[in-house]
Amino acid sequence: MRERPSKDLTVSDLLRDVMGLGQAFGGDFTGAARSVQIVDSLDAISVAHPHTVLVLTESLASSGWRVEMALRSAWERAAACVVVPHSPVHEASVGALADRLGVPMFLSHENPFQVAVRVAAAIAQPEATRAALLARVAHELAALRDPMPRQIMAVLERALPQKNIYFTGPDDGVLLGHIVTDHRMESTQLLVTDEHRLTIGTLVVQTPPDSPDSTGKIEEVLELAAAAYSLWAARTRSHDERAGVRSSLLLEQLLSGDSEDYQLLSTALGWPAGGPFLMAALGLTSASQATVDPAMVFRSFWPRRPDFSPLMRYKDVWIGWYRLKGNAPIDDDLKAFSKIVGTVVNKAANTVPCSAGVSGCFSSMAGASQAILEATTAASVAVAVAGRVVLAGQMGPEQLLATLPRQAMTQPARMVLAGLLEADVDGTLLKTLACLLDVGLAPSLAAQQLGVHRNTITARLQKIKDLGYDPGDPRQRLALHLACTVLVPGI
Amino acid sequence: MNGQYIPAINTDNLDAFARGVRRFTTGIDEAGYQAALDWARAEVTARSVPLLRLNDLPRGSFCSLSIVGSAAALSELLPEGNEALRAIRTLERWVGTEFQGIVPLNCSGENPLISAAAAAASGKPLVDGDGCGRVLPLLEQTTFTLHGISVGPIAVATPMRDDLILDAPATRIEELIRPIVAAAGGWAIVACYPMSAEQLAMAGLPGTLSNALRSGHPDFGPDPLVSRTLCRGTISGIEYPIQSIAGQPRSSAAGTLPSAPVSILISESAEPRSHLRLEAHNEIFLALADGRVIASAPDQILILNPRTHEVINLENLTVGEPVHVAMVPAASPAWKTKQGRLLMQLSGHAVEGFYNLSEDTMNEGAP
Repeated sequence: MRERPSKDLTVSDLLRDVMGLGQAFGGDFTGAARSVQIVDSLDAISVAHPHTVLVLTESLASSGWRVEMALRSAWERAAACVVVPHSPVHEASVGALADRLGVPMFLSHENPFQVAVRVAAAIAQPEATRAALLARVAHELAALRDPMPRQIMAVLERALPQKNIYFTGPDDGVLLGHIVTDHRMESTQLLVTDEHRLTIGTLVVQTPPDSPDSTGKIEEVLELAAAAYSLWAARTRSHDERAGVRSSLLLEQLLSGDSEDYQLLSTALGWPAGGPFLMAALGLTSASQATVDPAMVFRSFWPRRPDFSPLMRYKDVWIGWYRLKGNAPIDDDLKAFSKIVGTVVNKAANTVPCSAGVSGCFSSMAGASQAILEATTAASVAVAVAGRVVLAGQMGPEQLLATLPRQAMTQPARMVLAGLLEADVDGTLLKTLACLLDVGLAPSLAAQQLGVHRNTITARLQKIKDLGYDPGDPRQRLALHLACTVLVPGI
Repeated sequence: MNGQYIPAINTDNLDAFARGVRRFTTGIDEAGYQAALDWARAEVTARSVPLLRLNDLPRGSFCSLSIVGSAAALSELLPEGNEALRAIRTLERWVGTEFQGIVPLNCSGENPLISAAAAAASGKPLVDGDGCGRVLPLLEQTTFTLHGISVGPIAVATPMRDDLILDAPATRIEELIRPIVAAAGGWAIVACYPMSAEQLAMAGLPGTLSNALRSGHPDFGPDPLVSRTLCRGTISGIEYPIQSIAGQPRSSAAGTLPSAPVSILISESAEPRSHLRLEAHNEIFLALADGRVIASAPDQILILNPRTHEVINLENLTVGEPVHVAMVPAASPAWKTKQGRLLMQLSGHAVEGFYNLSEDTMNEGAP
């Protein structure tokens, strides 16, 4: 971007820094302002130098025709701008002419002489004016105390008028403001990071062509704002760490369909943006009698990475998700994520017996609801064994049956299989029956799992049938399968 | 028929004459204009009015004639028909000489018609000329004044049958005459500027009445009223200064014009689609296009109906109305001299400062 000599104060600077310049017309405020002249007659403008700020006296501005002639002369003399004492009579008409000629014009309610003195002071000390700008921005940001993103953006917009400002998240999605699609606009951007140097977002200022404002000045203002954004994110996360509920509340808000402010707040909380994702649900096993807060344990092992969401409580489980890399097969990501989740539950299981479920892949947070259902279901299957991770996509009947309350069903199971248990001295027939039921009565698969010949399985199945148990009979099959699952765990 | 000598105003050409003089006005009250035309028709039907050319005047004295006050009042308080004759006779008695002819103070609207009626009634010829070349609001705003001829003494004849002589300095005349007009019912006829034939030949604007007649009908020659089109567009706004908001005109304090200032804004309908501003105070004295002077007094700026090409009264303008803005150059270069501009200098609020503009600025938009 072109750098201008620092001594050139612009009309835009004046608009921002000189109080008393009211409603603006004319549109182009990029010109330099190098001198000021109080104008009490139209002939006086004919000797004005280019880039002069012309301040009309009240007597000269009392008639619309004189203001219009002054605007015309200002245009011909390449004046910086015209300051006109406010008049409700011809405000609209002279404003329309200023717009048409492209001559910046301000309607002022203040005494023209006082305005002229302030303009002269600003022109005489442009560096002081710039320093005053930074001081004012810093003061306004400090005054926010607990800065919120839109408040910070409002301070920026006041400090950098005539420019387009927006804020994007880590995935470049626009969180505040909007992008102006004009290839002539020049962009100045600044990365906003948190205390761990992880990206919160990016502040972008789009500047019209030939803007007189230097990149340096814009960056100085952006740095002040970036610090405020970091503070906002840090405070939000710190609060969430302490209370542990902010993320949970946002998740519930998202699942209930209320997406207002979701993007902005999720950025502050460090939720990975974009997608696709894999969801994990961590739950305590039924045997768990934890004496410490499970959340503290889980969080101490849960990865703190930009592609991992923070862990948050959802009903009776803890939810967290991972943004896929996008450049690897989904199966690889699924394995890697499952392994990490497995590591977490294994480490945590030493303190709080737990297990986990992992959902299938979902493309965006709009699909979070289904993913949570999958992960929590898988987790409920996994509770049978501490440290176990069940993938929702790989759940079968055996995983579901594993969730049965064994203790309560042991006695009924023995009654169902009483004849078989009596004849089965070493438990071979029971194990064979359970395995056959798990593999859909396929003798080859059962033989493979049990490490015996297929014919052995066939012979054992015949013995089982001879004892009155036919797993192929639909009337017996479910009862037999339930009884086998209860009496032969872990197959 | 170019430059055809027109010897008289008579029943054959009175209507063309009336149409022609109407074209020189900034605006006209229809009822007052009709009353003046009826008056002229009644007298001219009885006796036609010879026209004297300025370079062919007989020796002797002449006077000027004008209506003062509101032309609209003329239709409400109809003339008896002897007012103009009474004013001439009164002035003749006061100056002690019989006038050889009458010259209209200006050649616009009702004045030349009433002058023709007075000439017919008195049996005097009418001088083919005037002292303005158009119409101006004050009695002393004439080329006669520019040539050092005093407006007074003046004789005033009212429809209430009052006959008065005002023998006072020219700067006092307007101030004195207004309360008299108000007391007389809103209008009066004045005979003024008693002068010699030599003075009139030097100070008068020649041929303006025959020009008006030609302008009123092609049978009498090509239209001499050359106008320059300034803009065709639509009225986008009408602004009244704070001191004189619409419907509450400023009081006619001493030294001010007898009307309220107004600004008319026009959006040009064709390229370059300029933003036009017309400033008016009794007449339109300034036209700006995008802030640039494109016409100014003493040139005459007229707002015309684009369909009929007739002048639209300022008080009848409405936002959104299509209009045609034209400029008629000043009838005499005398008006563009320093003295001419000074005489034009009016003390109304809206025009304050207008005549202080540099000559360069004012001539910028000259054709």
